[in-house]
Amino acid sequence: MGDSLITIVAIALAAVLMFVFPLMSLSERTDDISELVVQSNTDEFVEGIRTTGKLTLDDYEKYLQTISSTGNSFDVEIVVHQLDENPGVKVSQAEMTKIGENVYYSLYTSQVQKVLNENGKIKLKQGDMVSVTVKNTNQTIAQLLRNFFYQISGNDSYQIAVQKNVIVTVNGSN
Amino acid sequence: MKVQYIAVIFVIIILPIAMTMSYSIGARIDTINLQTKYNAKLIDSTYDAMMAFQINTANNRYSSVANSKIRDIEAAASAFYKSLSNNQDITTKDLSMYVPALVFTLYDGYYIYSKYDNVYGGDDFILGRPQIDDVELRNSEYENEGLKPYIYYSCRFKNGTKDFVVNFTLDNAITIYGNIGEGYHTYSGYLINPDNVKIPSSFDESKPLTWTLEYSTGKPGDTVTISPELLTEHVLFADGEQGDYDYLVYNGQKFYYDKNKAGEETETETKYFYYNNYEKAYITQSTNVYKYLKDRTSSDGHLYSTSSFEYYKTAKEFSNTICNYLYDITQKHIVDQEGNEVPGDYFPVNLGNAHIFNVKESDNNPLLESSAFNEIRIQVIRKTIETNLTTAIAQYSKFIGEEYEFRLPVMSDVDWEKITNQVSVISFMQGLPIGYKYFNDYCVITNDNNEEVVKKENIYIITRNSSGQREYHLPGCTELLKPETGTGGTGLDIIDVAYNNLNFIRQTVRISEGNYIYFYPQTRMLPNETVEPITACYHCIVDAGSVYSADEIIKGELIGQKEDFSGEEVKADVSNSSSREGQRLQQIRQYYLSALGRERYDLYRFNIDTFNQN
Repeated sequence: MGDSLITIVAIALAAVLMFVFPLMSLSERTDDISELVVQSNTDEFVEGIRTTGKLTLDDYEKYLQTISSTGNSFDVEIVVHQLDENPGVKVSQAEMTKIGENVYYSLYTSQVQKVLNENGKIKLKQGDMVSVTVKNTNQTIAQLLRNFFYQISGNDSYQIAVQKNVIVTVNGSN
Repeated sequence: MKVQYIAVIFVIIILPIAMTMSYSIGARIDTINLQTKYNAKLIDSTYDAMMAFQINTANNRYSSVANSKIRDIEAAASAFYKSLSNNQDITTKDLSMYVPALVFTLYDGYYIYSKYDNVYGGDDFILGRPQIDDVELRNSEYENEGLKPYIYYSCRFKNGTKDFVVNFTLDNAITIYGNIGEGYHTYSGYLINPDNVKIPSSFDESKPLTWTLEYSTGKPGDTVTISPELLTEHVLFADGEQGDYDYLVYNGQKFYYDKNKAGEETETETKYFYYNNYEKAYITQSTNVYKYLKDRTSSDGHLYSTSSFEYYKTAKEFSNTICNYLYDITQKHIVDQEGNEVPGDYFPVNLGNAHIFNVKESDNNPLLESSAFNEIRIQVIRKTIETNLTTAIAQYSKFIGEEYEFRLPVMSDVDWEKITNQVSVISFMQGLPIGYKYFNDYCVITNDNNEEVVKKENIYIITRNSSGQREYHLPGCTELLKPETGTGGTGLDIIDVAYNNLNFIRQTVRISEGNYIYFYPQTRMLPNETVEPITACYHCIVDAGSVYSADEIIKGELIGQKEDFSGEEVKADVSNSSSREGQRLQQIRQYYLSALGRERYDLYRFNIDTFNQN
């Protein structure tokens, strides 16, 4: 009697050990790799904008395609901050680096997409800032399994999240 | 065997596998993170180097003189290394080991910043190796780090008896030396279509104020008149005095006219001054420049610049000579340094029988991107940088050791496009161990706010609206083209004048260490002694939005998308002189072409200035 109880426990334990544990471990690694892919692609995409001074529809779509090839779906937020030096110019003997004189105008994801669809590109200038934030919107296997054991809920429970902010270094040409 | 044992054995097998895998992936993530970090670091440092160069040249009124240029570049290189090692555990010296070369591409050539030796090769010279061995070299005082000699963007051509070398630049200026038909000669100047420029028969060399010429590509309605221009700049001095002065540029130096200066001109003191140590330095009547300035001062007390006229006139003469001698030169006449024929794949493009220097052909306007001349120019620049850089980087192992083989990485076409069109800094970082692999990357940062080159996009047009506000625009600004809109009020924005972009950058006056005052050259003094600002257009400069390209302005025809995005249409055409858009475009072209000529002529050009004086 005692023996068979132990056997059942052992089988259950073995099932957890032999399937769930490796699966969890593997799926965590998969997510790590996905994050790596997303990160390196985001870097490449954003650094591209930074050194060419323009954001093109081609590059944007290629980027979206590459990150979705990891098998996850993502929410990609792009924010473009355009530097306006005019307020600084109007102050006599202005200090350009002083905070409070220069103003940044922001373009958010939907606005960026609208301009991209209309013109095919957004030209930027030296001093503008671009920030890209990527989060996965689907539940990865690792998240599923983890939720099976312990529940994490809320908006900020992302498995794959990458952020990159840069200052544009060059005036974009046509 | 009991199930329990199997489970234990399973755990014993799986656990190490899972652990090593986790460790290995973790290490790879670290590698990628390090790579990303160094990548960003490299871009940041290169940008800092470029910014150092920009700030130094924009604020240095002698930066065009070769010595001072070297100083600026060395400062930029030092900024690069400082920035690279900033916030690192590694010292500048150790990190700099992994930077085989820094390249500063300038207007007509480039500098490579790298290690070099000052050892004469002796018998072994052909191999380029010094007689002392590498280990000895590394420990010797012969190892230096610094700028290698300046290298021009040059290419040799040979056709029958014609045998000459052409130095290309980032724009349409070239220098040719060698035998181009009648003995050894040197020519230097700007290449344009000489038939486009018409100088009236009434041209009188002794009266610069009456000089005018017409520029037209033959398209109806596109005739632009180039005449003396009135240029004004706001200047602030160290003693706090400020004012607006008429100016012109002579031999790369700005001279201002102080019309309000009390008293008559004397032998030793005139009303013309240049900006020296943030003070006025008046010139004397005995200097050559005095006559030049006097001839260009009108009776009503204004100083006019004739640079634009001189640009088109000298360009016409130069281009005529070049066209006459070199009209039949094609790509197949390119030879290597020794004069041997080069293989067909020497350049990645083949232009066939297109005549490179025959700029009279309508499809070979050197001002436009699509011309054969421009294509060859790009290929030559690329080839010369590639060749010399490959050597410089490969030689680097000699100084560092054999652990890592330094090689020039394959650079993308996008990067080459940037390098061949703008002043840039190219930095390389190789052989830095980052976990599983070695870091190997390069970075190209370009810049268009400097005194090296005036690109077509660098001309800004100033408008004044009905309420007197001044605003500057890109020539292709869509708002500028709308004839009746203005930000401050209704009615026509009057186009005032056009300058290059450096005129809109803040200038610094250094009173003492830590005590600086600033001014913008294109602001104006109001009658009540306050300074009226000039602001950037929100449609083209702040937003950097969709603008027409400079090429379209030069051609006199703008093509844009239809309102419903269903295709493209002609938005404005100068040959349609009855339309308001056409008239406005022609007006913009007038200011634009005049300013482009003037600003290009006013940059200090060692070759052109020296050869023209002979």
